[in-house]
Amino acid sequence: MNSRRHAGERGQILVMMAAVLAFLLVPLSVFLVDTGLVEASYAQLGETLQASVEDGASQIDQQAFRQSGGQRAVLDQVAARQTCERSLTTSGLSGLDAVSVTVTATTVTATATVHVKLLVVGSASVSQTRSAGFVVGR
Amino acid sequence: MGDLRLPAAALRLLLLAVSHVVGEYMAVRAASSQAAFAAARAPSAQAAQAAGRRAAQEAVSGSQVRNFQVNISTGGFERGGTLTAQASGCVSLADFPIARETLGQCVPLRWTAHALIEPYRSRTP
Repeated sequence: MNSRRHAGERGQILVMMAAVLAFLLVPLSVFLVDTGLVEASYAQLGETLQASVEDGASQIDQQAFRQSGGQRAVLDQVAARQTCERSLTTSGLSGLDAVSVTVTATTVTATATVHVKLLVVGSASVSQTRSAGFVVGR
Repeated sequence: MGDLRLPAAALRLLLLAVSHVVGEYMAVRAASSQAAFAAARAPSAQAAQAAGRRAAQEAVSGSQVRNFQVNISTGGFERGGTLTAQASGCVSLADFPIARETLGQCVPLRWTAHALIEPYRSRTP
């Protein structure tokens, strides 16, 4: 009796497996990969921004320094902005967009957004802001 | 429901394999960019190679990336020039037999990062 009853149920597990694969495993795998892509991009954006603002904040005003006989060390704000932007461009970070660099007398601040292309559909955007200070004698 | 135990375990293993590969991919990517930034701040081309390799090794020290290599191209190491660091390796799927059948024994991972060579700190006095 039992074997006759089970005979009609043969193959059901295949259907269940197909459903589980389609509705659970594949979306979960995609989610895992996408999370990794976004996290890696976020970390790399932070590192790149930090390096760029540090590059910018190292731009001493050479003319002011020489004219003062080495007594006055100030940040060259124009060079700081250009260097920071060039550093960000050089990094070749894919999906880099909306870069904003702000330079004050002692600080270089950069904000940028990266668009991360996701595995299956669409893209995600991650933004970060980093700052570096112009410091002499440390 | 007992029939579902084996497929469910297989699915869990597949998911673990995917997350394993993603985690190692992030490590290789971090190694590449950290190598580039460390090398760009070195005082000479030779020191850049050493600093870049050290930074890359530190970045992958906690990971399970196999055959890890980092190639740092300093060019002429000119001030304000561009430096390139390429990190590569592979992630072993020996512990994931089902994923190994699909993705292969070792999944290759590679990432390239660029950095601007420091105009001031990149030289010893």
